[in-house]
Amino acid sequence: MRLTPELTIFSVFLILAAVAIGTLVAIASAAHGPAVEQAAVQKSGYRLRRVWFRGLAISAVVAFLLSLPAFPYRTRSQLASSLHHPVTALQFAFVIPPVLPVDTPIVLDVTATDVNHGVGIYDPDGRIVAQVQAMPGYTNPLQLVFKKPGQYLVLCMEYCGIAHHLMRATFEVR
Amino acid sequence: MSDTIETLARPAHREVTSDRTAKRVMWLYIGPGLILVGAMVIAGLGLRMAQGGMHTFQPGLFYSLMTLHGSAMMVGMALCGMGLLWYLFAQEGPLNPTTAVVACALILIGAVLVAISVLVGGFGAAWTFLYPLPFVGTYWPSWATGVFLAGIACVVLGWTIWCLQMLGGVLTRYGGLRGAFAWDLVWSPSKFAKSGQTPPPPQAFAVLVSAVDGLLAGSAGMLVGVALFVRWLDPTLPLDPLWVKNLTYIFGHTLANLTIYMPLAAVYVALPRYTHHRHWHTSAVLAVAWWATLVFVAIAYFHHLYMDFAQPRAVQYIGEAASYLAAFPPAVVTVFGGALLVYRSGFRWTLGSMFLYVGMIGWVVGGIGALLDVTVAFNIYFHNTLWVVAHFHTYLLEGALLFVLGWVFHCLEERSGIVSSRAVRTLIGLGVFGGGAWLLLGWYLAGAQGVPRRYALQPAPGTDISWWASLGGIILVVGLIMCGIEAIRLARRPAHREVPAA
Amino acid sequence: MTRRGALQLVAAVSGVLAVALVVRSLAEGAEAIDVRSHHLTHAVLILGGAAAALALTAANRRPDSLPEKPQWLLPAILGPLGGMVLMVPTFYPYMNAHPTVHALSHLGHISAGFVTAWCGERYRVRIGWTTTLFLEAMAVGAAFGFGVTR
Ligand code: HEM
Ligand SMILES: [Cu+2]
Repeated sequence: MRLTPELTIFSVFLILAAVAIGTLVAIASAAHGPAVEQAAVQKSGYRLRRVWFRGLAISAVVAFLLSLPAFPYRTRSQLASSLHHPVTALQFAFVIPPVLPVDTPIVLDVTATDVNHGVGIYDPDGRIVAQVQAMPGYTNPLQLVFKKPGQYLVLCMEYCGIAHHLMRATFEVR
Repeated sequence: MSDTIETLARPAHREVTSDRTAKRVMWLYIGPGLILVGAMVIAGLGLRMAQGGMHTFQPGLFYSLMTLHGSAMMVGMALCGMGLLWYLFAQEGPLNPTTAVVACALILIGAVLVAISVLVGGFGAAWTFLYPLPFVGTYWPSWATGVFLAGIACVVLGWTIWCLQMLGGVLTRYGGLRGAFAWDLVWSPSKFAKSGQTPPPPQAFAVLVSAVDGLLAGSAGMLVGVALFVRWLDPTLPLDPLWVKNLTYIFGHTLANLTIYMPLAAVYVALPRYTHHRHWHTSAVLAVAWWATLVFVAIAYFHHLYMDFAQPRAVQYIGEAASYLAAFPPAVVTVFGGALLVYRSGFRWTLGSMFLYVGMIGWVVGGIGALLDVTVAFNIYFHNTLWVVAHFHTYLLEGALLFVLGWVFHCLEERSGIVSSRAVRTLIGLGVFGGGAWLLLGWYLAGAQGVPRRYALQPAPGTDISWWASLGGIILVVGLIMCGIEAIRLARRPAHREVPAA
Repeated sequence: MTRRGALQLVAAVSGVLAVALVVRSLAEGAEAIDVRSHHLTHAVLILGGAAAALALTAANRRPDSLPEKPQWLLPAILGPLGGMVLMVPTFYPYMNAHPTVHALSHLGHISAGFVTAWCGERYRVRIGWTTTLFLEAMAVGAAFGFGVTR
């Protein structure tokens, strides 16, 4: 198992969860025993809360700003320079070009003909690299660059009926 | 340490619903609510084991059962929260039981219609019934769609009635929006203190926010319900899929969120009773936290449409910001306040207080999972994978449900005057929290590797993980069954005292 | 003028305005319009009916302390449902072809608004405002997808 970005996020989750659980369990184990006046606990508690609030607020702002470049939404002019390929999802198949170029910015114009579907693209290592919803009546432009040549897998990412889990396609990147 | 529990001092000068009536209404909601939840826990385990290859469900049956599991869980949890809030608020101001019974009856009729649609008709468009799925390329007859939509309509009607009743109660009791929101406490605290007024108790904010956001969800739900029902009658009617999706998630997201915020009131009311003379008061900070919850719960739903690039761009940014901000009230005020309340308080651990406290832990952990998922940069990997299933089960199963169970055991302990032994508590704790954590971990792990949600049969490594996770699910269910037995045991004990001691 | 008188005037004016809209279209024959504008027109008519009811109930304001009257809650919630049924786009082509029926159907929108607000307020003080917002949100929301596609 390689440490992919998703598994890194998973590890971050485990660490944060462990810290949260640890802290709350520690507080719980200090709950028993002789009681302290509420006012006494509150005094230092509220001071701590201010620090906690500021810390959280700063983290939230930083996280928000850091996440901005990764937003996948593009303006029309940003999309204009790349080559567009149509992708259509329908119960229960994808119509997608069999071959797509490596290391080249492309745009997949994704739509659906019947119900909502999702296009989840998995690289040759089975890692999800991009996804977008496929909605009838709308076209969602997904801009991406394939970094690795090889066989890619597409899975449906929106529940679409009885064969949802069988709805898949492959294409070649070279 | 005494085994008696302080009963809530009830103000005598105000007209309130009698405790007996209020309790009856509460059980009228929580009883069927818990029965639904219990049945659906078994169904959920069946789904998980099928995904792990322990037995086989035909895909149609899998998706129909998944639909039932999701819808009935939401209805069941909502019923529990509604009953709980109704009871708590009835001690503040008068509420008419007839209204509550009508609302409850409508919701139960809705639940029956949904069950008929799924179990007889085989309806399987998932509990979000995202248009055009209920009509196009279905594997169930058209009538099942109609019955399902009628069922949802009944639920929405009942829900709306409940919201209107609660909102009316809160506004009347505390002097309009201004009083109910504790506006003056926040903006002119010294004047407020001098006027001798007291702000609404913390649980009243849960009532207010549930009712207001609930009505917002209700109007979206009713609109989309009418639109889909008309579309069912008249297949030529055009509907805008993106519009429907927005409404569906205003409704679904808000309702799902409220199933956590409603039983939270139990923490406010019951947790202090296990401490040594500590209280949970309304402060300006608490009031502002609930204002924030009111706003951010309502607009955070945009994160459900991150992968719809046709959605106006601005709301994607608002969605991320609002989702982050929605975490502040719990993190800074509610859970922080709960921990502070418990810290060195001479706390009395019982089954009830344990559930209430651990429920806060589950809420926080699920919240961490949610915060990672609402970051658009990560959502690209996690949207509609099992990560989503992981985080919402964390705060529904190990959060909201524990709040409800905590409240139920609190009531049973209070009534019977006895508490479960340490051994029973440990066993149930191991089953419910240990088995639960194991079950949840499987979803996180599979989600992190991109296994999609709502797959009857999962691509690798989904199936193997599901197999292992199912073992945790079995332990969890055993824990919950022990819980049920313990509850029945306590309920069958004679009432500790009929007349509250003076 | 007293507060009460002023409110009664507001009620009368909103009622008269809403009905005047109907009368005008009766006289001229309601024009054929697209579904979105149609929904929005209905939202305005509903608002007229509701405003009249709200002003009237405010003029005869009951004390806050009065308990619930559950019997009013059912019409207060069936009002919005009825209002939505009158906004089913399937009927719109027929309405566009029959100006008189169309104009008369607008009385239905006004009544739906009136019933929603009036009964809500009778059920409990301030709830009429709530049910009005509830119905208006749906009526305006309908304009963006109910029988309308991009
Ligand atoms: C033993 C406990 C439970 C088990 C084993 C379980 C299992 C499952 C499974 C296997 C799914 C389908 C996941 C997928 O997309 O692959 C699911 C979905 C879901 N569960 Fe649970 N669940 C449990 C408890 C709960 C509780 C307590 C709630 C709510 C309070 C809940 C609410 C839901 C909802 C809303 C869905 C989504 C259904 C959909 O995707 O349409 N579950 N559950
Ligand atoms: Cu699909």
